[in-house]
Amino acid sequence: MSTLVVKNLKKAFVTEGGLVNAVDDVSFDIKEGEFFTLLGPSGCGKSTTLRCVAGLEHADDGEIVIDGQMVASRRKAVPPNDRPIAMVFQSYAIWPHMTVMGNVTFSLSYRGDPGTGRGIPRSERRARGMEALKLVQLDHLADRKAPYLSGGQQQRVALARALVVRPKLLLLDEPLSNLDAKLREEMRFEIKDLTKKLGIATIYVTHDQGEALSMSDRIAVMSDGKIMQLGTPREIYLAPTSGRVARIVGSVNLLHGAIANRNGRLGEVKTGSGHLLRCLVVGTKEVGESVDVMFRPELVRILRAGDVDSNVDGAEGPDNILPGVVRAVVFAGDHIACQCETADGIVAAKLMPNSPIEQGDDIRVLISAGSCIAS
Amino acid sequence: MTSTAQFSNSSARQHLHKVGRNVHRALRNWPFVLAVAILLLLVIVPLALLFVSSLSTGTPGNLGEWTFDNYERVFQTPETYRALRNTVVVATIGTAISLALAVLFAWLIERTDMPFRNLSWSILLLPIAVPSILFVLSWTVLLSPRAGLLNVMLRDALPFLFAGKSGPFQFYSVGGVIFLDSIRGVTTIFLMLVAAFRLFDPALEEASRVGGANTFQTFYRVTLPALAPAILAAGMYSFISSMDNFEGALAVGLPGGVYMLSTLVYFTVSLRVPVDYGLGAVYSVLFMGIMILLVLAYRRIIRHSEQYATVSGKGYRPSRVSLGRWRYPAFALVAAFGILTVLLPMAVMAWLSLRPLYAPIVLNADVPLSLVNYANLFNGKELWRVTGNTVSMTIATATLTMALAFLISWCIVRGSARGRGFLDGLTFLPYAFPGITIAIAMIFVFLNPPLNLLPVYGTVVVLVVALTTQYIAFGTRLMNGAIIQVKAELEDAGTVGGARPLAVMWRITLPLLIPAVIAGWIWVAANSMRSFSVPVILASRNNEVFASQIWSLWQIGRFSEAAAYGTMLVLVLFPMTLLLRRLMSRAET
Ligand SMILES: Nc1ncnc2c1ncn2[C@@H]1O[C@H](COP(=O)(O)OP(=O)(O)OP(=O)(O)O)[C@@H](O)[C@H]1O
Ligand SMILES: [Mg+2]
Repeated sequence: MSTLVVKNLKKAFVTEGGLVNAVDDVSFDIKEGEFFTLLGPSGCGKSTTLRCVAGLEHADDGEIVIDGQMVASRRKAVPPNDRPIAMVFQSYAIWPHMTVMGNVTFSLSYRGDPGTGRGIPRSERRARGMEALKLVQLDHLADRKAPYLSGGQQQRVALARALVVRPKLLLLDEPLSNLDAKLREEMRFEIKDLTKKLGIATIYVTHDQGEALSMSDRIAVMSDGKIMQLGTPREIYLAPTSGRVARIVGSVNLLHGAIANRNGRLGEVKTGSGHLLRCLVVGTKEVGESVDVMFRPELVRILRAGDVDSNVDGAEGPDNILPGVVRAVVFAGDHIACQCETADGIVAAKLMPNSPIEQGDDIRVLISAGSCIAS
Repeated sequence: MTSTAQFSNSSARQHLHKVGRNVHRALRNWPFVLAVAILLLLVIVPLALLFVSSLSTGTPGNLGEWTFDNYERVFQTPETYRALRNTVVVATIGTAISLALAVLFAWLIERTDMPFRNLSWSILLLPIAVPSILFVLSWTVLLSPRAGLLNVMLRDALPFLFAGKSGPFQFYSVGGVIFLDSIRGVTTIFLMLVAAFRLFDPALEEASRVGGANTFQTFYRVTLPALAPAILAAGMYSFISSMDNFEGALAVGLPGGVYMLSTLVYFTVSLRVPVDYGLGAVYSVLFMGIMILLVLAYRRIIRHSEQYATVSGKGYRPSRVSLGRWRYPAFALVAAFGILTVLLPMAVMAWLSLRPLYAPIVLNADVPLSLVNYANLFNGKELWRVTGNTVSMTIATATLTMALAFLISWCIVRGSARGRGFLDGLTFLPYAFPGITIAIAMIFVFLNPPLNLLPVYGTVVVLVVALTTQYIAFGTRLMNGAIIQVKAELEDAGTVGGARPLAVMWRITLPLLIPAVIAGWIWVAANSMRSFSVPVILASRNNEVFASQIWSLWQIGRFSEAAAYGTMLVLVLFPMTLLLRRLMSRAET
């Protein structure tokens, strides 16, 4: 059984500039214990979707079923306090007038034990709070006043406050966006481990592709209130169905052309300069229609004049080849970013830090057919 | 979509569906319903009754026939136009002067190296602790044309210059009212402006100094224009409260035959024989109409000024303008203000309160000073009755106002967009109600069916209702600001945590707002104690409070007793005012 089913969710806001379709016909479902991410640029409707699931916003249309219980539909809206959920907010929303323990045990006076369905006796609450704080390694701060916490500690308190009720569904709205880069990396794995260990289904909202790719079981890429693509991190990254998705999940090269021939998923695209690129063609475009060819900079290889490559210089290599000149080289430590000018435009490449490339080199750009997506 | 008929049909159904859901939501949303109901009762009902009465022949409790006669009479009386002109003249000149002084003081205190700035802050604030009526009455003691102490002194000192039995200051005149209004208005404007001056980005001024302008050129060409929207808004607010001026108009204007709108209303329903409620209602309606226009203009202005981004918290360094040899003269100006508004009037009051009852008010060393007036008051019953009334009125008004303000603001800030505008407008309206018209409206409300069945007319309850109506606008504005600063996510976290909306309000929102609620409570309490027009117009044997007691004693010539009451009132208001400053400055940081 799915822990969450969202069907045809719609939500519009009336603003001074007119109607904003924040969520526009969104459907997805989340399996038990699954880590599911909503990824998309700022303002695409991720938070609104999440808030509809939480019940903090009333959907205009659509259905939401949590753990088999219909919580939102045309005729019904279960308030947030009666949904079996927990949530961590972007600003953490730690109540400054309470202690850490006060924050964590707040819900226990309202939500019962999901196992027995009964209320939790006063005497037990502190023990439960302690348990939750131990999960996030903050048990030593239980009686501290909430304002005297660092950002990272507040984030952990927010997490403990959510986990203490043992929710079926955990909602996380950009929980790491207020932390510094290093802490953010650490917390990624901690959050994922915790939810996996406790077997809680999780919706994670973020605009950081790195977080989304490294943490999720599945990702829904959103743009303008719609889900553009839904799939595993690999599917989304390696086989985006549109240029937009490709750009949201990472940096990408785009070349324009028209389909020269197509045979199922395989096909050839003729670029403006007349090159034929072998590609995977997604979508329903026919021969002659114009398409974008996408490929990731880190899947690009560069051959300098004189370099020999068995694939290319052998009889019939599968790689596409574009001749060009290196226009810019930036050494970034763990990689070299390089911009190559070709007849079809600039191609960005991400190379090993030890590659001997220099500005002005005449080169050939190599892209395997499997990493070129035309759509 | 095959035909338009089908389309409109389905959209109509959708619409019905929506309406049904909205009603459902509204009912579940009972705080909103309650807030609207109370506001309608407090704001719209009195307004409507005044309007109806202005079109009726009868008196409160017996409205009689419909008629336009009242309006005709009002527009045919030259007195109407004269009062209107006086009111506008006083408000305009008075505001101009107070604005200039307040801007100067705010700049001196926040942006220059004037000495004793902290003391100056208190000097600017303390006039709040002196009720207007005491301030005005003290000045009549000093400046009344015949017996005014200063006038007498001047005539004695310079007989060749000032001959005759009155003057040189002809205080009972438009000029007298303007004088009082202008120095009284400074504090309000100062308080509204001082934050803008404090947060003003000094880099703007420094750039001007580097560009070659001197201190005063910089003030005039950079600081002043940059703060213009804030200054305009404060000035407009002050203009509105000057229009509302009653105490000065009553104690200084009326003896000289100078009518203002407020005193004209008062005269018509209280002094004239026989009183004419129809006419009074018309004056009230006109008065309110003018005020509503002004308040609408004011709202426009503050909407603009909020968009103006001259004030930034960033890059603040306390670099102050150096005044050089003007440092002490600048402080002398502030000190003079303190003397005129607080020291001198309170000295007069205290002195009066120590003199024998009925002794003519002249500077005469032979008259013995004693505490006998206080002793008599403390031994009598009246003081205790009046104190009881004042305390219960004050506590009830402040508590009711802040509770309502919290409820209403919560709906405004957290409610849906449409409901918000409506509520916001409703709470802004009382800014446009002069105290005097609220009081008169209360007469109509509580003497007409159905509320005449409640035995509250002439009790403290009426005062509480009237004052709450008057202060609800301030209370909601304060709470709006405070609630906006409580991030919505803090409340959402409570809801998601399983708490019902009421539990969230009680356990999360309210505790976070306690400092603002306390500050607002004290503000309303202090203002209730100082309020004058409402208790005076609604005064009866059962609801005398300090302000109305002072006035009625004064009118029957028991000056010393009135002064004793006044002195005691100020002794309570002083610490409250200082506490308020403490709380407000803490809330700001
Ligand atoms: N209460 C509201 N009133 C009006 N418009 C809103 C409201 N909440 C959201 N919107 C609008 O709806 C759209 C989606 O907002 P949402 O907060 O869901 O975006 P988001 O994807 O979470 O973005 P971010 O990454 O910046 O948090 C935006 O255009 C936003 O301006
Ligand atoms: Mg968001």
